[in-house]
Amino acid sequence: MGGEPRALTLRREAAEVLAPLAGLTLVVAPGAAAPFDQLVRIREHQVDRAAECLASLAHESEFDGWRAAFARRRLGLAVLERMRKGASADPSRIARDVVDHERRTSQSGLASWLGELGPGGAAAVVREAVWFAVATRAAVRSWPPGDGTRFGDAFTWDLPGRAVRLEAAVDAVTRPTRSLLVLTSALDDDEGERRDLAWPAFVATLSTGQMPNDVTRLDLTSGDRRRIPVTDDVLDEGLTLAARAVEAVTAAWFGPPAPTAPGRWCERCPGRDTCPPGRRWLDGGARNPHAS
Amino acid sequence: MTATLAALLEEVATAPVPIADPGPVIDELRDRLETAATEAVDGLGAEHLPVRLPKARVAELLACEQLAVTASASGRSLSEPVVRGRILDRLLHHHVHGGGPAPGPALAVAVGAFEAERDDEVVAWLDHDPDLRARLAEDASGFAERLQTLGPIDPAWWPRCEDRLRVDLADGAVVCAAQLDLVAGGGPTGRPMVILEAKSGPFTADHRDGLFWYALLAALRHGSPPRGVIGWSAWEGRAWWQPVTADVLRGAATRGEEALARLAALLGGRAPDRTACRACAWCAERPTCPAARPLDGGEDGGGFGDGW
Repeated sequence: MGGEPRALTLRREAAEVLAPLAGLTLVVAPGAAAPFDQLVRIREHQVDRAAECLASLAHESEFDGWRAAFARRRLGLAVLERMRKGASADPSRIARDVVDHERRTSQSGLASWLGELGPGGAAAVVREAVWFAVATRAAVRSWPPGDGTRFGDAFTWDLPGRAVRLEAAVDAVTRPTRSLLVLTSALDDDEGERRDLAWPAFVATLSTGQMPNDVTRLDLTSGDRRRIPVTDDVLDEGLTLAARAVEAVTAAWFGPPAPTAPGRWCERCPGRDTCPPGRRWLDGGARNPHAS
Repeated sequence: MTATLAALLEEVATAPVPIADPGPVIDELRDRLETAATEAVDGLGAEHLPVRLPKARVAELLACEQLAVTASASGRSLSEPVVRGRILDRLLHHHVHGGGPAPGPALAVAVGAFEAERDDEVVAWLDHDPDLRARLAEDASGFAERLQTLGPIDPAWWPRCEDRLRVDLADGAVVCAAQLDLVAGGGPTGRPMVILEAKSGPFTADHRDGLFWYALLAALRHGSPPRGVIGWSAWEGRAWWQPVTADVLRGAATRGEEALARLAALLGGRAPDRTACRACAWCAERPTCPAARPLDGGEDGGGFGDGW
């Protein structure tokens, strides 16, 4: 495999680029784990925000609780994983079993929240998981997927010496062919799509020391499919994304307010009510009333 | 007609296939909509994109351009008919995905769903008026009873509620998205796709046009049209179904083209025309609108394509 040399040098390259940008984060001794409350986690969300509006990262708050839409992906992937293993019941039945299993056996925050739901809330959660699973089944070209496939996986890599962790959630991984699958239902522009593809490829390479062969992005609402081979250029793009996100998140934690860049992302920004440029954008100053 | 859901689906599945070779029809309709969308956004700045064309906006643009402009600028606020419709949706979701009848009052089932969705606005709205809540609780109980009459759906159809789809036109400058009340079949099920739309009031011609728009979007999205569409009124407990023929799809595309042409004119700066229509009853422009139709009955306060 021609990818291994770059895969191995990428870790050193990433450390050299990212460490200076993370200079204000907690120093971590070799082999030690960073305290969780001081760990700067760089996920898809931070990568997107850093690419859209640096100021928005300062408005990030604690996770404010579960809701049906947040549970969709995790439970939908669990439904798909059971189907992959041969579950033959209908998706609704499987999703109800998944919810029940999570509620009974897990200590997670999701399990605790599921335990509080009544019949209507549970049905809303099952509804979301079923849609995700059926839309995925309709979108993938073959079923069952290739041997060695697993739905719902994640890759992480800790920046040596600093309390910084890069994380990438991947909806499915086929290990023998080193293929990654990213599922989305959100409208995005070309740049956003490229981020969706480059980020998991980059973090997976850092995490495993091996380059994936390819990444496929499936849009479950439109059916759009985009597949790229993982090349040096893709890894370079991932490193650029990481550098921008580490710098932006570090600045948001420790630095003065960053410049704002209003846009359609203001609609879901937690700081929209206290950000005058964002408020103006949302109030229509820069928007056509038929766009939303 | 009054029929169970199982019987309706069986009827749709065993009826003659309405479009033997849908490929050329879908290609033709996609071309027409692409052309209309491209013309609509010609010259529009990137900061204004994408332009969204949901079902309700198509209906508004065709009914009264001023209504479309007003609704786009002000958003859609909650009202009794809108919340009644959302309650019905949640009861349908429980009927399909809940795994059996729910104990307790039907409204509590819907409120449980709103809470799980963190739809705090609806929950607060329901709490602000005890009389209103009592009325909606009664409606919810009626809906739940009529859902039981509608009956279960064979799980082999892989029924799913709130099925989302999106069709991007003009390189994504125009976005047509939809969230379907209930979809059965299609994709990996080996059964024909059927779309069901549930309404909390009587099923009207506006609703029928909206359902045909959904059929068109589903055809474009999946490359194959739904076999049929079902409209079900939870108010009356009655349903009808219609096969999705080429003419149904062409009619929906023609409405879409016309909506896009009007949208293009409005985006280009033309003043919106005012046309008296059913929406006059609840339109915010009504007090000052010279075209407003006189009220000929109670105000229903609903909206095109939402809530009923």
